[in-house]
Amino acid sequence: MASSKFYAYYVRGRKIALIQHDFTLGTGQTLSQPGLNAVGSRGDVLWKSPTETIASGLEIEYAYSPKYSITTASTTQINKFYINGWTVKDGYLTFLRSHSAAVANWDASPYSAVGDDEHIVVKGSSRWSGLHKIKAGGTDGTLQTYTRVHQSVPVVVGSSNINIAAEASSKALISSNDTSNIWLNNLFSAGDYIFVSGSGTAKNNGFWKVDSVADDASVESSSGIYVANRYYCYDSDNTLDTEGEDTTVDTTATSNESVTIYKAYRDFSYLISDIDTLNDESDTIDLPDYLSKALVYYVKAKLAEDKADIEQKEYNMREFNRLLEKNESSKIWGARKIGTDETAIR
Amino acid sequence: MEKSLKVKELMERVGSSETGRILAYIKDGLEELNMVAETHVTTDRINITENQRFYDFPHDMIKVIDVRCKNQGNAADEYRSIPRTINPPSTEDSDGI
Repeated sequence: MASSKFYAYYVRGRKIALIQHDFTLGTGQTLSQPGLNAVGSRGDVLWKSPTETIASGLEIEYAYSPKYSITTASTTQINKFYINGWTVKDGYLTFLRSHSAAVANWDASPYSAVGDDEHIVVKGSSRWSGLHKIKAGGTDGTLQTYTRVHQSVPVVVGSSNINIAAEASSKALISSNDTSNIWLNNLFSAGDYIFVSGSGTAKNNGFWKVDSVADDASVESSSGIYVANRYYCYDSDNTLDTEGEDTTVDTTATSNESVTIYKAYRDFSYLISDIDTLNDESDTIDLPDYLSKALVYYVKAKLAEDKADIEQKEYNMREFNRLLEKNESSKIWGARKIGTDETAIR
Repeated sequence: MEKSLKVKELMERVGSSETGRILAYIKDGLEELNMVAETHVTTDRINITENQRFYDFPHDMIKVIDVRCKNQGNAADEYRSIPRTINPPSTEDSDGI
């Protein structure tokens, strides 16, 4: 049975910082919300980064702009597909999907339902929830979008110089040929995730966790990395919405391969295709009737601003705000009164 | 009868035939509207990772309405609102964060 916990948060830029009150009490006790003074200088040693991993533990409720609508039912493996994580390919956000002994082919059914230049909506991601446009789906498990990522992510593009060993002692070594100038143990660290694609042996490709790295050596072939756990999406069992984790590594020895190794970010989430976006004159704006009028004033204001007609712009913005306020007021029924407190001076 | 406003109808009302420009302003307007009127609200659940303090807000978020955590003050797997602190803890925790 889960135990009771106490979290709090603060905002740092575009991130939410989650902290947890680190103490335990006996089972069955009911606790109250911690006082804010417990977060100050006196009690701060009790507040730490989350002390345990909780699947779907953080829920954010938020407002978003209806620039798209999902008009068809979402069905897993039809127009809804789970992904293991993401990486950056040529500067663009790229989603990754691995299977238990291969990677997904985004050019073949059912994954080809996500077509190039189509829009998708990502849900459940710790970073990328929202609307994206597909640039290209590959046969190598990568689904590249047009979303730019301003982040440098290591990638190794092998050219007949990467070797993958068969598993031994519950891990498999990936290394490069001498004089290739690819020092894998410098590029990746233990605990990192990588996505391997392009191996001639299907089961060598996939989403792996780096178990350890070799000690620095004078040659590349002795400076490899060891992978152990494999993470994958189910594609046939009735557990499609859970992520598989295989701790028994299974690889086949291959040498002199032209594989690509991306540093990956594990972020099990899903994407939905069949998205209708707001992009032409025949589209419908998904707004309540009353607020549609406000939107007309907003667009008029922007057009007036473009013409440097500030008087018209101000008038239209005032009408826009007036309609918004009226819309908010209309949701509250009855008279609004502020009563005097019983301790007020009479 | 279909009542929702179409882009074409809005263009006629504002007297413009520049589709791309009007669509850009409509998208701006929808964001401004949602700052106040919250016409479209959704929830997103993300994994809490041990020793990871910082989590990104959703890519398409305009305004936070509530932040909840599983088992917050309960052992019944319920999601309950968590308080926002005014200041972060003034000392690092054992993870150096």
